Amino acid sequence: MDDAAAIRACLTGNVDAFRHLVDQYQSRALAHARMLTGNAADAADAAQDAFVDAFRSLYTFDAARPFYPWFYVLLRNRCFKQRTRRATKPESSAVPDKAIAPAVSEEQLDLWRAIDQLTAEDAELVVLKHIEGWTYDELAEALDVPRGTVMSRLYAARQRLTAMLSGEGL
Amino acid sequence: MKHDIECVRVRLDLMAAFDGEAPDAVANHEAHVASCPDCRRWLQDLAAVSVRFKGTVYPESGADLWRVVQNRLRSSETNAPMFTLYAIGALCVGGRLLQLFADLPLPIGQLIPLAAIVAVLSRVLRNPLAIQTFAPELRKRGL
Repeated sequence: MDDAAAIRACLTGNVDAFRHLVDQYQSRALAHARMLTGNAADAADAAQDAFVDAFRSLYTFDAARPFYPWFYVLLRNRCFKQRTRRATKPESSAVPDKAIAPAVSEEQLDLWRAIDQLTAEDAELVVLKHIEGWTYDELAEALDVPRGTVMSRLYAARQRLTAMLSGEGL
Repeated sequence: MKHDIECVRVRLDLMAAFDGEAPDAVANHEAHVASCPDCRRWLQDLAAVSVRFKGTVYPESGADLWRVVQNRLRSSETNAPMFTLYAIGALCVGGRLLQLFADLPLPIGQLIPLAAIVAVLSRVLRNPLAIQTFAPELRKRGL
């Protein structure tokens, strides 16, 4: 089943069809949520809430577009609510746990450690650009800022990431 | 200082070109890049960072969100419409009692249940896609 078929099935009231979307995007959603909330428990709560929001709002989804950028707006909103509500202390969060993901290389761990040192705003931009491959327009739409702001923030975020990776910022 | 501002302007164009958003930008700034070692170094760093991301995937979380999401969807399927009806019913009755027993001026007595119903409906029908921005307090916490 692909995303479009799952969404069509969900819109006919088939709750179980939504499993495809949850299974497909939960790792990505949890990684993003951990980045934005700085806390694994809050991230899990935010991701669950966002998936529930997504199911309820599927009728507003434009099937001609990819699912995840649309879902990301819901996820981001839930992450902010979670942070504001709980005011939990951030923990070192974006770095993969070797016990859960033993296949992650040392080089990738270094990269995630550097991302983890960035502010949530910087980390969000860098990850959405480099891993998700979003365009400036997609970033501008999801973050609700002008394209020029995306560019200047991305420029600054990349500068800081470069400094982190070269050891200057660590 | 003028040199720095020029460099940032050039780098933003080069970054857009690197990201595939402005293909012509490189040709426009060839002369600057050739004469500016800082910008050349910056361009190399940008490429190096990009290479480091190649093949990067999100770590498996080991979590299974589906069970929780499924339970919540199933329970909300049965509970949400009834909750909304109960809430609106209770507010209407409460508003009517206020009108009968509290000595409120007439327009206020009529407006209370109406406002309450609007509040319930706006909460139920709120748009979760309305984009939120980074709150200042989150920024203060370094998030």
